[in-house]
Amino acid sequence: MARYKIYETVEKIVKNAKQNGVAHLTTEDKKLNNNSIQIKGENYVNFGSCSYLGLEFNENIKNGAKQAIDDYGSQFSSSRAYVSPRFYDELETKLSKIFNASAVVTPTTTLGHIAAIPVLVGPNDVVILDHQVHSSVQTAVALVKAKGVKVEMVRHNRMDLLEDKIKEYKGEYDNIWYMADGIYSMYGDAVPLDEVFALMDKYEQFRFYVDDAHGMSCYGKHGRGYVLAERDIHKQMVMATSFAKAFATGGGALLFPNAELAMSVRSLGGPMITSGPMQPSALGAAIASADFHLSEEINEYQEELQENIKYTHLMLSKYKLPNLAADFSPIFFVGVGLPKIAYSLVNKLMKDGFFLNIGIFPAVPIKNTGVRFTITRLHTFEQIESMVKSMASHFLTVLKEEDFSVQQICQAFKIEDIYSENLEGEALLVNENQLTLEHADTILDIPKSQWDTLLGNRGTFDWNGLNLLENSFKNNELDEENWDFDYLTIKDKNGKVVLATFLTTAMTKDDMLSPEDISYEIEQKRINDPYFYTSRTLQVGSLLTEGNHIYLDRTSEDWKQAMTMFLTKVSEIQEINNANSVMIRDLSMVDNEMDDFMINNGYFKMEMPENNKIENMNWTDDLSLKESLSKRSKKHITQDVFRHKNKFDVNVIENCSEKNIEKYYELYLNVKSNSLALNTYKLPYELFRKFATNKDWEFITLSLKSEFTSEEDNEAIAVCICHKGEENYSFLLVGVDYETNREHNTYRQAMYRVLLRAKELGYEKVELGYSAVTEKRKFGATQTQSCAYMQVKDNYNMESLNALSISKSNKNSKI
Amino acid sequence: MNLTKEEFSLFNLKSRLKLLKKDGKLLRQRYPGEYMLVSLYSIYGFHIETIYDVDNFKTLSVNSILNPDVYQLYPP
Repeated sequence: MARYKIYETVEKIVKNAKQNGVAHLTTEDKKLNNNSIQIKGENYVNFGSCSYLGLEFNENIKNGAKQAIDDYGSQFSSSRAYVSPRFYDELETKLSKIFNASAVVTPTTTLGHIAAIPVLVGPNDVVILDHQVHSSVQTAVALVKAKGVKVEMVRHNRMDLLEDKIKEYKGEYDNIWYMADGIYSMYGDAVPLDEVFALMDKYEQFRFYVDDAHGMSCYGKHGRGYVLAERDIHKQMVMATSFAKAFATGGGALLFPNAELAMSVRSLGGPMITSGPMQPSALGAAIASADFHLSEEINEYQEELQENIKYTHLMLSKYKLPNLAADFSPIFFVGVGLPKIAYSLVNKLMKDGFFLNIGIFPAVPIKNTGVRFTITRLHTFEQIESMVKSMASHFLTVLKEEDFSVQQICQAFKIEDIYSENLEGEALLVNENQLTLEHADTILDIPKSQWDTLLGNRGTFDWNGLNLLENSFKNNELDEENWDFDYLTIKDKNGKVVLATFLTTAMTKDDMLSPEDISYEIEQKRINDPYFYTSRTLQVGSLLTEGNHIYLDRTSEDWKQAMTMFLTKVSEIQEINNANSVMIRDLSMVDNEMDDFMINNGYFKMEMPENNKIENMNWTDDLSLKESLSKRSKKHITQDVFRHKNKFDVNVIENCSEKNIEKYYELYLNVKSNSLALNTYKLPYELFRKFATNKDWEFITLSLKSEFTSEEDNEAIAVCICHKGEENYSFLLVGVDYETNREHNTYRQAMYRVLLRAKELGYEKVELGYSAVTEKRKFGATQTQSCAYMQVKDNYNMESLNALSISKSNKNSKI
Repeated sequence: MNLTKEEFSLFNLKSRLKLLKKDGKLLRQRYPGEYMLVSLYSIYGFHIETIYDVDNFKTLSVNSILNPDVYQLYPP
């Protein structure tokens, strides 16, 4: 159904970041000196460098590059499969000494992953990705996934869950690969090494592939990195590392427990054969850097870095900034919540002479945006304190300007709020426009005339429709059949409504929009665990209503302020209702102003499924209906619909017996259980009882005439549940007996009968809802594309579903 | 921003010197031996004594003062 418009959201984020002057920048220094950079004529202390030890200015390393150019020129252009420049052997020998493992040098770490993973992972292996593993590993894993290897995700650093998966898969797969980072690039936390090594010792089939790019040089003897700082490489692991961070030269390396495996990747890895080699300059620099790593001098550098890290943590703590970083790594992350706050804060820091980065979607969930910065050995204590002091001084101002609070930040990051009470002048939600927000939890508290004037003609969610929904989705036995309702109305100082809408919170299946084969697999797990991959979702509208649910007066000068107030209230409701995700849905697909507003407020955009509507009801009989259709549809309606027309008895039922309701519910369940395209929970029986007694709803039933059935009773074989709105007739639900459907084309006949009924009642528009686009198009339906803006607190399930693959291929494993 | 005595002691000798240079104030100095310079600093509301090896141009220690009697060792 709906597809994520991730690229579109990312593009907007980049565009906004560029507009805010915090991304895609260029240095102007003719010559760099220490940790200062010049951008647009201004000098900044650089808090964005990953050259943690400051080795880029090391004379020996610079000379190594120069000498290699003198010796070999600017490049040695030949595939390593044929011939490598002499530097490679020297470098790999030194690296093997540094790591006490077999080394293969790669042009970049990403190309290293792409070389290694397809060689290492066999067709009957399973790959389990840590939820936060670097995207370059995921890119390489996509290659084996495309060949049918099963790929799953495990919650970040949850070794208990990882072990459960190992136990589950050890009898089924040859090798179980866990792929993780040594130090994670956003929050600077680390893989739990003791536990991973214990799992390797315990399970022979368990394999560990780790990217230690950010750990390289900073930790361990000879700077061998975080992962191998206190242990040797394990026989069941492979490590990738980078020379483009603290090693200060560019390139990367793969480390193997034995030379045979190293040679396999060296010989078979795609980029080892087809990609160009590293330039002599980088190789010469890397050899010199390796020499530095093999010397005692590196110990002092590592210690100096750790002292700076320690000092930074102390400063962040004393200035009461919500620091989320681990206490040993040079990567820091101060949570701010929303992109717009990060832009503003980084901008203010730049004005004070400090260059920092933004940690933003898709690297982190969009509501977990933060200011990400790095500490190197080159920073002085003065620079560190000045930067932290500057950040603290702007922090509250920015929150105030953007109507956000420290408490909201702590909620977004699920951290204890130890900051608010210590921060003077905590940001208060300002309301300069004097808007007022009214919040109700039942439609009964909203005047019917007010609601129906604003939103009554948009679908099934007029005042009466919502009253019916409220009464149907309460006091039911199952969690998923009980919804919370919230109604929000925002008025300006003159009492004029600027925004009005309703929201529901309900248990939803996380695979609701996933491909059917994925949903099928998940449903198998739900047989024993009914709430597997489910969570509570707060959405504008409800699972049973369609159309634009938000009345928003865009002519009002207060509309953005009203939207801000609305989103703040939505966050509050999300917390109270314990909803994992928020969906502001059914909005226009093409609205750049709204896109920017929502993305800056921490929402990402996704495409909704197409909504079907028939707007041409100008036909009067079958012939003119047929004439109104396309050539192909004319053929279809003649063969599949009109040809069967006389087989059916059709009744419109406004009040029906309990027995009939049971039958209609049974028919509905037939359709529900046959469709995983939009994988929702079944609707409660109670809802059908409410439909049956409500004057705005009617059941259209189809049964076969006696001459076309051997059944004695004239039972319905299809039911259509329709809403009679003021302007629109809405076909909400269908139930079909599949045993007779193929022979009599019952589903298509039902659709036709809905149109006839709408015509009979004089409607000019018929809403046909989502799904079955092809079928509905045959009846002349047009499609409209809308979008949803989403925010997810915990995106593990969403990403895990994306990673899920169910097929297998036939490739051999190497270890 | 002030550090506590305990926080100050978390740092190595080189960093303590950096902190003294950044936030400390030299109060007094004494020469207990021919090649030894001892300096008294005030920093973050407590006192620090440094011992400098004049002969080898090397600071040997930077520690907070635990025993208040030590102040009497400095000339007025």
